[in-house]
Amino acid sequence: MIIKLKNKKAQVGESLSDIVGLIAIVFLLIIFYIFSNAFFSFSEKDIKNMPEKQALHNQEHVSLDAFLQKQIIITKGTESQTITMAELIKLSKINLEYKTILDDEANKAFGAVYDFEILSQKEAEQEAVKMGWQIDFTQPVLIVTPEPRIVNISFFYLPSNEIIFVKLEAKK
Amino acid sequence: MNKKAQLGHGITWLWKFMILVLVVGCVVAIVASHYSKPYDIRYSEAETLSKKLIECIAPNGILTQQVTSDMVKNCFLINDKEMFLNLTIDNKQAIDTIGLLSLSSLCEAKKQGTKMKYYPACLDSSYIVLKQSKMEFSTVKISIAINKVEKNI
Repeated sequence: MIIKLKNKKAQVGESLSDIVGLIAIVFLLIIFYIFSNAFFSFSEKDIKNMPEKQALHNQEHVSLDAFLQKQIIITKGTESQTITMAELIKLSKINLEYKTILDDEANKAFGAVYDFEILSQKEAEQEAVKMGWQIDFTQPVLIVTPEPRIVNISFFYLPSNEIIFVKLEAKK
Repeated sequence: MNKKAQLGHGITWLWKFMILVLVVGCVVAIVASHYSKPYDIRYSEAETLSKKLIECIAPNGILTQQVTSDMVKNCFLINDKEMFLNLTIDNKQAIDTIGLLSLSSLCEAKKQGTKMKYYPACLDSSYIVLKQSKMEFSTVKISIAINKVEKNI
C-alpha cells in the first residue's frame, strides 16, 4: 500500500478534525451518562414505592373479601334470616331499606380507613373498559387491577341479575 | 512505503484504536455503574411476607381460631437475626414478637423523621378479617421490619 505524504497544513487539519471528533464523542458520552443517571434514579424511586402501594392493595383485597362474606341477621316482621353482605348488596339494589343497613355495616367496618362504594352498571362498564378487565361473570371474583401502582382501588364483582361492582379505596 | 509514511500510518492507527478503546470503555463503565447498583428489595420482601402471613392466619379472610407463635413461624421462613415481626389482633398482642426488637425502635425513629444511613425497611399493614363465627370483624395489624442492610443498600 502506498500512502502519499500530504503537506503539513493538511496533516494539521486532519489532526484537528480528529481532536474535535474526540471531544464531541466525550461530550456526548457525558450527556448520555447524565441522562441515564436521571432516568435510572427515577425508576429506582418507582421500584421503592411500588411495594407500599401493592401492600395497600392487598389490605383492600383481604378486607373487602372478608366484608362480602360477613353474615348478618335480617329481621322482617317476625321472620329473621341470616344472609351475607354480598347478598345484602344485591338486595339493597332493589330495596332501599336494605341500603340503610348496608351503609351502616360498611361504615362500621371501613368508616375511618376506606371509602366503600357500589358502582352503577354504567360506572362499572366504564371502569372495565378503562382497565381492560377480562371477567368471568359466573362467579364472585376479586378483580386484580393490572397496575396497582397507578390505580390503588379494589373492585369486586357480584353475580346477580345485573352487574354489581363493589369498590373499596383507602381514604387519602 | 517509506519509513515516515509507515510511522504516520502507525500513529493514525494507534490514535483511532485509542478512540475506540475510550468509547467502548465509557459505555462499559456507564452500563456497569448502573447494573452494579444494588436494588433495595426489602420493601417488596416485607410486602410479600405480610401477604403470606395474612393468608396463613386468615385463609379466605376468615381468622383461624387460635393464632400461635408456632403457627406464625410455620407460615414462612423467619430469619430472627435480620427481621422483626409483630402481630396484633383487635389491638391485643396475638403472639410474642419475633426477631430483633431493636429494628422496631429504628422503625419508630424513622417514622418520626430521624435520618439514618443504614435503616431497616418497615411495613405496617392493617387487615379487616372475619372471626370464625362470620358475624364479627377483627382487625389484624402486622408490622414487619427487615434489616439486610449489606445486601440492599
